[in-house]
Amino acid sequence: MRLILLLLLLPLSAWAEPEYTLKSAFEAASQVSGQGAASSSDEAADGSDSSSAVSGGETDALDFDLEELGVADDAEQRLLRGNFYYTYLTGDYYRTLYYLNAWQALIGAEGAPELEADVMRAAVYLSLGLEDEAESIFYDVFQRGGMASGDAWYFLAQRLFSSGEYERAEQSARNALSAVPAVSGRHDQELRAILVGSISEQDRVDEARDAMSGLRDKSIWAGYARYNLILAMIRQNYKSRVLEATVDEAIYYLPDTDEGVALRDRILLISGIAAMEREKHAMANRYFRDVTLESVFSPPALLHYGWNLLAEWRYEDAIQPWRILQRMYDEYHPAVVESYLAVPHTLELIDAVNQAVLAYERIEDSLSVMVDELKTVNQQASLGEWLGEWRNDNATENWGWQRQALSDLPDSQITRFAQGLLDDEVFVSELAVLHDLDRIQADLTRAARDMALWEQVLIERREHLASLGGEAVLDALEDKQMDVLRGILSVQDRLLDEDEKVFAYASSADEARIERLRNVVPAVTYLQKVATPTRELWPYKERWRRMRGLQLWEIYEHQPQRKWDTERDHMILRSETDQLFKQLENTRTSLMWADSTWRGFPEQVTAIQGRIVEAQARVAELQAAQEAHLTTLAQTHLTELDERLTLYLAQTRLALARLYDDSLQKNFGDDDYDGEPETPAAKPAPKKAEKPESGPESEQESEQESEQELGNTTESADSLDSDVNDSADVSGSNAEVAASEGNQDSDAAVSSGVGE
Amino acid sequence: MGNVSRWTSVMLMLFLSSFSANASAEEERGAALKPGDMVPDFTMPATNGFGQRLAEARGSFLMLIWLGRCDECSERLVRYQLLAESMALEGMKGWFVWTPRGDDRPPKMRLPVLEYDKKWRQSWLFEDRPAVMLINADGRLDHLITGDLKDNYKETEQVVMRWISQGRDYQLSE
Amino acid sequence: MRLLVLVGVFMASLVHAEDAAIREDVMSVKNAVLDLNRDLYELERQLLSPATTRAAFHITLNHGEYFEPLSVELSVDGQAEIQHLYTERQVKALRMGAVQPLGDLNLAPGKHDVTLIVRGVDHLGQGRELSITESVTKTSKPLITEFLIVDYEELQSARVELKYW
Repeated sequence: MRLILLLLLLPLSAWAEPEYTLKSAFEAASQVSGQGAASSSDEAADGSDSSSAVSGGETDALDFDLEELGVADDAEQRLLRGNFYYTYLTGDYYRTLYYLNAWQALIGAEGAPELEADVMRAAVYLSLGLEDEAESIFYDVFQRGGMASGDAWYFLAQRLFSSGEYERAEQSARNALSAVPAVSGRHDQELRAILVGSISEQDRVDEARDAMSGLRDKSIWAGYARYNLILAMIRQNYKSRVLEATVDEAIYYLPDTDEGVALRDRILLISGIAAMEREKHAMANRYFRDVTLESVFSPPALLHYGWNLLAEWRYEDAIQPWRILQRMYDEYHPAVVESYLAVPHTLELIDAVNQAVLAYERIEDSLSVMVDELKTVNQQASLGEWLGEWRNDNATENWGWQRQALSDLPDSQITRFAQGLLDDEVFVSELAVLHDLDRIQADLTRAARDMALWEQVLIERREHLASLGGEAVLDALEDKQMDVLRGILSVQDRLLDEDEKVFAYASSADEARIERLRNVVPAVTYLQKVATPTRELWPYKERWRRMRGLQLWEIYEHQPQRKWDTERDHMILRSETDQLFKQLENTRTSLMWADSTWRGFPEQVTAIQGRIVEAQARVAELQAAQEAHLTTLAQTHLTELDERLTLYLAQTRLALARLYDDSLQKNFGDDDYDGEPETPAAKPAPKKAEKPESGPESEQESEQESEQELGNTTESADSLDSDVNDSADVSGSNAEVAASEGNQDSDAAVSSGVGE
Repeated sequence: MGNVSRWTSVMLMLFLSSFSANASAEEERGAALKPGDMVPDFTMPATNGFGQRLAEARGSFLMLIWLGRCDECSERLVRYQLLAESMALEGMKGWFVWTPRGDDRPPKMRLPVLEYDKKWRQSWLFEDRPAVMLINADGRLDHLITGDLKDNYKETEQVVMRWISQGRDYQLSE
Repeated sequence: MRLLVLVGVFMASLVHAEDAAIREDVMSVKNAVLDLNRDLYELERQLLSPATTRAAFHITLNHGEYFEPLSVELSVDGQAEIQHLYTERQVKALRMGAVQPLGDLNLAPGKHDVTLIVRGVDHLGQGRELSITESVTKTSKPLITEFLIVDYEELQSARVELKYW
């Protein structure tokens, strides 16, 4: 009752504080007796923290029990939990698991807190790439009706989404949104984006659109969510209007940052491709035209833009984006490579034969060089070196999700050829696996070195301990202890015997006098025996009696005080010696334990070293296998590229041969037909453009195309050339791909690269 | 002769005043005594046996019960006697100090009943009212409980219990 | 031989003369000493020097079978001088042969009446009182006395005796 009254007297502000720090708890306890400490605002609101309240009511401010404050337990839990989160967020996952275990051991099996620990353990496992273990814990948590914090569920959702586990990512995201305590504000938008993305990946478009409601329009996460939604719509063949509206909405709200620009380009790219596939070329053009030249999505956008224009039979316009692509990006870029034959093919379509020939010739030269280079680099040794260099560059990065970012592959000819490979998720993930293995191997090597050092330390410490001669010293002390004990027991016996004595508790002076008296007795006895007539012994006896009597009286008078002093000193001595014996015992125990603390350690170290060696061997095997696998992937890619380039080269040569042949035939035909006036052949009707697929389709072109076509198109080709030859003066910011709108006049061709 | 008688009376007065001075000094000494002080050594005759001397109780806990006015007041003291006897195994002694007035008869107790008689210079009077003194083995006054003995018995009992249990440790710590 | 006799007579006459002188000296010295003693006595009396006036009294108990002392009072010339109350252990010490120094007094040289009253209990538990009054002479030397409480076998009682050391 008194406790409740004290609690009621506390000011409301004390209860309103969201968190009770250690400092505030001690300050409050020192100021007010009977202060109850609340560890959280909820507990404070409930007022249910009676177990932590301080009993009292007395005036002594220091008269409180620390244990009853309840601060210590929560503080320790908070500390371990904080350690765990800190190490998790800084990516030190070894320590993360260590602190997680410590935290879990502290809180025990008390239901809810343990589930949070399990959820976080699952998140850590996911971060380390241990999806199976994480999944099993995840299911276990679900079965137990977990109540982890919003942040814990958020991390799990993040990892699951990255791993492609969309269904579970959705569940985690929903749990995070409904968890108590709720997810932190800084993660809220991303969490909602993950939710929308997860639902979208499951092709539940309507639900995803509903889930968009929690996102702020201008947030980048809303952009990502809309991107995923657009993908889902494309997969679901959603109505164009709805799709267009979503695309427009997505683009409109994106922030004007680098990330926003890249996302915008990405959205435009996929939208353009989707429109192109639906043969909505005008719409596709609009999308492609809006893509900037500043993101990684620009090259594919330029490529597809050209295809789209070609599909609209706008041949001259189609060349433009390809020219820009070829001028701005590396010649080995996959998009650029794809555009190689497109340009001369299109030139042929517009009857710019000379230009087509020139283009083919240039392409032939380039492709020849590329093929030769490719053949040179497509060797196991050089690929190994290439991978090795990358592995060295990333040696300091951690493994799993601990790594901040793996650096790009080193600048080399192989990297130029393998640009397409680097876009392949499979290759990238396998590369990450190799990096992880390298990192693990490095950690194992460090651990082996540490174990060797510990082994050395153990030896040195044991030798040092032995050199101290603890045993010998303790043995000597124990001998002394026995002597002291004997001495004490003898003192005790003397004390017991003292009470029986007549002259008990005599001082040293008294003892001396008693001794003198004692010594007189034999003399008097002797005299008595001798007993000469003239000798009178009575005075001697009388004097002896008096002295003895006086001495006895004096001793008796002082006896009580002396006896008490002696007993007290004896008790103090016993107490001190008991403490000394205890200390000796403790020293003996500590020596045993000091020795035993090292007992088993060398064996443990040896066992761990064995495990390390075993692990190193396994990891080395995996490394070799993974390296071989990556090399094979790279080789396969390069081989395919080689084949493709070779094919292109063949096509180029064939095209050249064909064009030369046509030209020769034309010349040869003119020589044959003397007298017949030359009439300029009508311009052939524009042929329906065929998308020159990267293949041997150019074989389909008829050899019926005549010199006429070659000649008539010269002028227009020349003007195109002038455009082509003019270097693209691309502005660095907000440049847009522009295409001439149906203007076949080459003079009116758009200046390269400059948008309107 | 007149001078002799005058001198005799002066001497007698001086003699008597020395007693009163002593008594007042003693009373002053007793009144000023507080816990922590050394209790002055005294010897007083007992109505039921040998006299007792405080110095001879050194090394034991002593409960000194000042009776105040007591005319065969044994009933009042039975509980104190039982308390002292129950604590005897712990090494505690108990004495009663009786200050007779007029025709008062001493109480009949098993414990020593010391009689304060100012004739005996070795005697000591604390206060002529009931009180309980708890004197430790060193001869210091540890507790002083004044007031009616009957009313204060419970408190005395609690104090004695705690005092005895703490007493040995205190002595060792000294 | 004659010479020797003459020398002897001469020497004897000489010795006789010397003896007379010496005797006179001795007499004068004796008188001087007596005067000195008197002066000293006067001085000591005035100074009440303890060495001269000390009187020590002791008590012993011989067996103590028939009497146990509880208190003792010593008075000199009617004046109560020394009191003592006995505790059990003190009585036990006396029984074992201890000699209790009752106390020291300053007594002027001369005769004094010393009275000792010992109160106690007898072997039957009855209260008893033993007393003794003696006239002691205080000289210039310290007076050391001992009161013995001795058993009186015939009467199954005890008495007090005074002894001088």
